[in-house]
Amino acid sequence: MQDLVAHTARINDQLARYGVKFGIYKDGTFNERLFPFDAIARVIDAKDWALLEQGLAQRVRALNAFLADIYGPREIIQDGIVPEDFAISSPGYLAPCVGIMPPKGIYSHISGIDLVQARDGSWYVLEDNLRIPSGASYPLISRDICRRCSPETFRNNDIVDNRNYGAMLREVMDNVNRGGINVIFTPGRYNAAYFEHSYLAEQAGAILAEAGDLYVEDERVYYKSFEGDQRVGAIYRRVSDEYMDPTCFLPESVIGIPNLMSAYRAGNVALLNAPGNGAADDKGIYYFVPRMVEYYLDEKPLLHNAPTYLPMFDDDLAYVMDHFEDLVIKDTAEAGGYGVVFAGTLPSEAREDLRDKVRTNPRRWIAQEIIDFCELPVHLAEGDVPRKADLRAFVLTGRETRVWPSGLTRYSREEGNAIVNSSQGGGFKDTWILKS
Amino acid sequence: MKTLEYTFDTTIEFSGNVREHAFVLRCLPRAGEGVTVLKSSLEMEPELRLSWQHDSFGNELAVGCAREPHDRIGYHSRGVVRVDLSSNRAMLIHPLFKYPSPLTIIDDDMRAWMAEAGFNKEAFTASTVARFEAFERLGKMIHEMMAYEPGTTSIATTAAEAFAARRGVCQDFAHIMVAVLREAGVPARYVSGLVVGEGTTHAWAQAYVDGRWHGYDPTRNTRVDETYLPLAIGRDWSDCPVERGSFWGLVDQTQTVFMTMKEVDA
Repeated sequence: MQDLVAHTARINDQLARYGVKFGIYKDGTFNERLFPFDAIARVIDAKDWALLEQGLAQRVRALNAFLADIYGPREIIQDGIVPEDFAISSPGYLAPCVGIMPPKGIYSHISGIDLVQARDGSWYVLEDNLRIPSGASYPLISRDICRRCSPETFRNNDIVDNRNYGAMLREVMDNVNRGGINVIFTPGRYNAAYFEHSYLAEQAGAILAEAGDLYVEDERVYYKSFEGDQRVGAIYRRVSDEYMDPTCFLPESVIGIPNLMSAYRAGNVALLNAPGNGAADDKGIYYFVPRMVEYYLDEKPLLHNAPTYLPMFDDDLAYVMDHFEDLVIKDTAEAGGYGVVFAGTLPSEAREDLRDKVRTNPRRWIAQEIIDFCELPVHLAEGDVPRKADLRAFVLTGRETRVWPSGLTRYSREEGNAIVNSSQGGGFKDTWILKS
Repeated sequence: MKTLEYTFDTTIEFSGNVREHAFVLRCLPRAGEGVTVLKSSLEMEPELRLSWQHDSFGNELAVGCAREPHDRIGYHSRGVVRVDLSSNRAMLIHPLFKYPSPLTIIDDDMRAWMAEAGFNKEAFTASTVARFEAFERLGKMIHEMMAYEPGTTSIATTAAEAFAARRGVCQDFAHIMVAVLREAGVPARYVSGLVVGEGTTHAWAQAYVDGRWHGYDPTRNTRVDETYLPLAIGRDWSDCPVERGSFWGLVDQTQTVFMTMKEVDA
């Protein structure tokens, strides 16, 4: 590892050359910046990983079952496990998806589950991302560069190879492909994750396409190419639901594929992930995921949620009001680390203001205990410093649900700051899974 | 029981050529809930291949795309249906119809009006007779309170906005009725369709009472009977547009709609 860390500057230089960038919207303007890489990898031993692997696959299986249920028979609601208004009036629950069964019944093919490790070593899930979780390309390409800068590091340590992500992605697409080529559909080069879209297309052997390259005819999707138009059987789309089809969702969208939903409805194309998945990764629905594991799989959940309270329940609201200063308050309408507030750090006026908002509109908020999650060393010129870090694990559902033996470790830029989202200006690390 | 024969013609004219014009039409009667479709056809102008599907609410869709440059597109729907509301059987509903939708969000002014007029949960959970009485009284009050003034609202006008202005068209009347019903705990649907006579398409509201959907037309202040034919049903207008299209071309468009429907011998 020391040898690798010595190459930090060179690795970051290589990443910059590759254009490993992350775009951020702040105050209405779009800025692209390099995503800083820290060469000290997060290391997870085989025993820890075995638990994570099982727990993550279990969680994603339950989430897929939940999506199939709420867009179909809604048994979990009838059985009183998830409140009806909570599931159905969630902004992520899309009426046009009701009654559509996606190919092989899979809704979330590529899931990004965010975890943190507490100081006692136990892992907690903070968030499920079942729409368009990004970030797999960063550890992939950084590992590749590290391997070249310091081959000994990877010869002398027993690290599980993570270069199979492209192959896993391909298997996931092939599994649901309805006949034709695999396509990665990007909103275009001004998107925050465009680098990743092009990189993954290359890794998975898929065609990178944007609006105008694809069209729908007779309930089938085609790709326009110089060798003649080709049928498309699976689309790993990196465009959000509301922009996917102007004849079904937002009519003003110019980055979608008109009439795409007619091909999807007819079962002639797979969409990865399925539209409507926002119904299951709502910050509020998160509360119910451990119950989903028990309900659908009849298994005990192997991974824990951070202790969470839903102010919409009277008991929870009372607790939240009594312990307001000790909790993290999250706005379910926001994403990417926005709308996350540590109530104890607010000036008293702002805190009372937020307290009122939670009381008057309880459905919109969740509250969580602060988990004192562990810090990882980050290498700076003046020496190593500790920074809070999380882990985004990538769980892929093809013929089976499998966890990619790596992941994106993100750390916060400032000391003590516990918000690590890349849109908030942190950096990333490689994640090594050890063979023993 | 009535047998109805309808014609429904829509033409869209563009100020210049458009191309890659993808569209979804909801201009065919939906079978079920008392409606039997005896004959139904759809003719496109220019001639185009169509795909036939159903959306999540069970509406009939015709999906197609006019790729070549054109400055006009027309579709002509014809058919004969039998409407027999006595055969409208009890059915389970999707819970989506219980909650506010984008165009039926309610505000405090509407809530105050509801409280004053006595449209609360109790009014709709009392005896069956009382529930129907409240349902009809609501439709009547909306009819009397609102001025019918075409051009004062748009397809994006919400129930609360139309309510505040006290004016609008059939779509707004129906949105207000649907919004109030849901707020009072009654599942409600928005319906667009045809009524015996001549002119343009119409819209009305439905409430779910005793396991069946019952319609009321607040614009014409009458219960929906066998002279009404639904073309599309949804949470609000946004689920029911007769035509939704997407095309390439910077043009203005003018839509002309004309329908006729009359009772014929069975």
